[in-house]
Amino acid sequence: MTGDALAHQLLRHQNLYMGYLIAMTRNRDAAEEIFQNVVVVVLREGPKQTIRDFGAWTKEIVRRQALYYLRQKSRNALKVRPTNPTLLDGLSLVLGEAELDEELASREERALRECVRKLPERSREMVTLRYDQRQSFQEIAGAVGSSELAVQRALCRVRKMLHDCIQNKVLAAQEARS
Amino acid sequence: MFTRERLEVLITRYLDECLDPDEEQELGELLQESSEARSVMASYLRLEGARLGRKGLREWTADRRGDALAQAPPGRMSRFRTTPSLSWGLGLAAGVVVVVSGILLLQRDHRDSRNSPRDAESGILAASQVQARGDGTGNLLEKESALSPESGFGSSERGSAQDGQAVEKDDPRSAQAQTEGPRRVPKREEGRVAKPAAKGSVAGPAPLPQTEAYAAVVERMEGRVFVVSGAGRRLARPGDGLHSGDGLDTDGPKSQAVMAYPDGTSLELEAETQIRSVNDRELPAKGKQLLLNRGAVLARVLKQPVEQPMCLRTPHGEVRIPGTTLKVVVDAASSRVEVLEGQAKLTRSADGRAVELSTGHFAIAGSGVDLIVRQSAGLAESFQDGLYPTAQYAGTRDTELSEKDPARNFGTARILEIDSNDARSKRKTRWSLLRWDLSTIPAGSRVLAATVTLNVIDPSAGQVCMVYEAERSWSETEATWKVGSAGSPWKIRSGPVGSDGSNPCLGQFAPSTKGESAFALNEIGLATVQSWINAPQSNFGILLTASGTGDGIRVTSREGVVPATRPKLTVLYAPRK
Repeated sequence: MTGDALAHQLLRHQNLYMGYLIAMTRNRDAAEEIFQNVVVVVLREGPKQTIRDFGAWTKEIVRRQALYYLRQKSRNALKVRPTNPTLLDGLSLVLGEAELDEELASREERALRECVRKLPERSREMVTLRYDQRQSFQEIAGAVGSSELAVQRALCRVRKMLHDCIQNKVLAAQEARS
Repeated sequence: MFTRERLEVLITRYLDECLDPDEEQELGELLQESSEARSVMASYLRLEGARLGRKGLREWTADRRGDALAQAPPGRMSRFRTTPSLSWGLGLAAGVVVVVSGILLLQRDHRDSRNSPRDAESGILAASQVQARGDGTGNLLEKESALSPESGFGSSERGSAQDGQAVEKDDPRSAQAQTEGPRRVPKREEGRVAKPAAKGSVAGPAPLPQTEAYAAVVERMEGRVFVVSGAGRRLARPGDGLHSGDGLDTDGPKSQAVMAYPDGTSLELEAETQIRSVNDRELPAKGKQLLLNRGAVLARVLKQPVEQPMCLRTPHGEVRIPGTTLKVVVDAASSRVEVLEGQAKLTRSADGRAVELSTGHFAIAGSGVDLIVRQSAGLAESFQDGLYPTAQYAGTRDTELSEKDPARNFGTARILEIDSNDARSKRKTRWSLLRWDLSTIPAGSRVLAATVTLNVIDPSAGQVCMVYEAERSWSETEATWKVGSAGSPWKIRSGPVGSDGSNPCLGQFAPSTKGESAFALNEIGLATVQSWINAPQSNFGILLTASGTGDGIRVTSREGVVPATRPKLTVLYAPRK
């Protein structure tokens, strides 16, 4: 496979990989760093090998990089509660089984954009503070005049709303087609 | 089996880093067991990745294309965090990502014809140049430029707020969310809402259907207490019900309230306290739930189902309460949780760290405070010969009064028996007297809870032990069915209990198994213990009597060989301020 095709494939499913890495590490910076390592490995090793199933191969690299990071982290004994091993295994299963459907991925992304537009202003503000400005729940609570827990919960709610909204749109699009 | 709803709650909470270890296990198991769960999780992961990763990357490439990589806005540097060890790798990786992005853009975005292959090449060039300089800052800037989800999602759509239809509109909780937090309830509004209710008018929220069960009721109250529901705030009255999702406020320094659940669990709200989301419907029904926004609460939580401890949340953490008396004080910066009796687990929301608290210990969750379990300032004191408060304690007195042997003293017996005058006991009653010297508790302390623990040798299927206050003086080595001490008969039929037997009961004890068994004293019992602390000379202990039929109940006396089996009284008190 050529570097171009590899890059294309990789970025096509970047959402899944990033989501997995964030879930595994619970740390956005770490997830980004790991993803970069994945990109390096994929682009370096990919053209050298004959890969039958690019998706599975990439998933395996993503998984190993994540586990490598977690091992390093526990060795450095950072003061963070380690994620439950059962859950980590479960997440890796999720990654292993996840469909690499390009069409679905791009549909979901379009839907996300539409769904975000529908969010109430207040929710959008909190989302911006949390995900763009990376503020803590506490900081956001101060900014919007609410309690930390309310912010946490509101963001959880927003996540579910977006997810449902996207699923509905994707489903509707599929039905419309068939 | 799992419900989709539960799964999604776990997933969203996990991704927002507010899942406790037990729930992580639960989610892990769900994912391992069910492919459907994995598929749902996968779509959440794609969403998470889309929000945080790709969009920023693509927008960057779309916005800047071949722009010089090193020109990141300086103001955003502070937001960037990285580890030095990665700098070289980052430089390379960032360069590669830029290339990849460029390629992707070429392949996917044909409409944007300005993006020529040369741009992508210059991207590589720029990246490699920065890297070749070995300039750490350059690397950082690169990473910042290339990978920070610059506008993430949301901000770019900000302009279209007007056309935004409130997705939350149908959510019954959104109205309540608006009332959360002090800023959401302007003073003016309070008066307006409260006034009609105070006049006893019918204004206010429409009455709810009678069939709807209350999550809890306002048992007692004093001062300005408000029930907060989706419809707003209204002045509370004793007996008012709280529906799922409602809250309770005690406004002003003199207000207080007691809120009770159907199982008898109660919460005493001190002044200036704000409770929200009582048994929130949105959260899966896993036992009692509530949010304590600020103020102080004394919670007496009765034993909850093992899998469903009560969950009390604060802005700083979460307390899981299996059946415990505890005090929680919340201020702007921290939450202090003090267990007066039993156990509880406090999890700090900032990092998920948790500590287990037991009787007489407290911990504080908050920013800038170490989450450490500390011993309370002597708040819980147990009294048991040979063990508590010290191994030297020998302040317990106990004996049995037997109608069958009316002149015999049982002061040195190792067993105390309690039986009613039923056919099995041949109409002969047995009572037991127990007293503990509580003089180490400082006078003026306020008794919060008291528990008697006895080692049961023989439980009884039919007998319930009723506990009364002994109101007459008695001597352990002289008391019998007839006299309290040598030469001083009880005089009345009810023996140690002063009056005619209509005295209120202090508690009940119905052990069904052998071994250690505890019972809590009720409010009257607490008042009695309080009077003993205020006036030690009035402490004549308690009388255990039996009511019912069947064999008597037998427990170990203070002469028991093993100290831990001896009668124990545990008093929880607040020292005088």
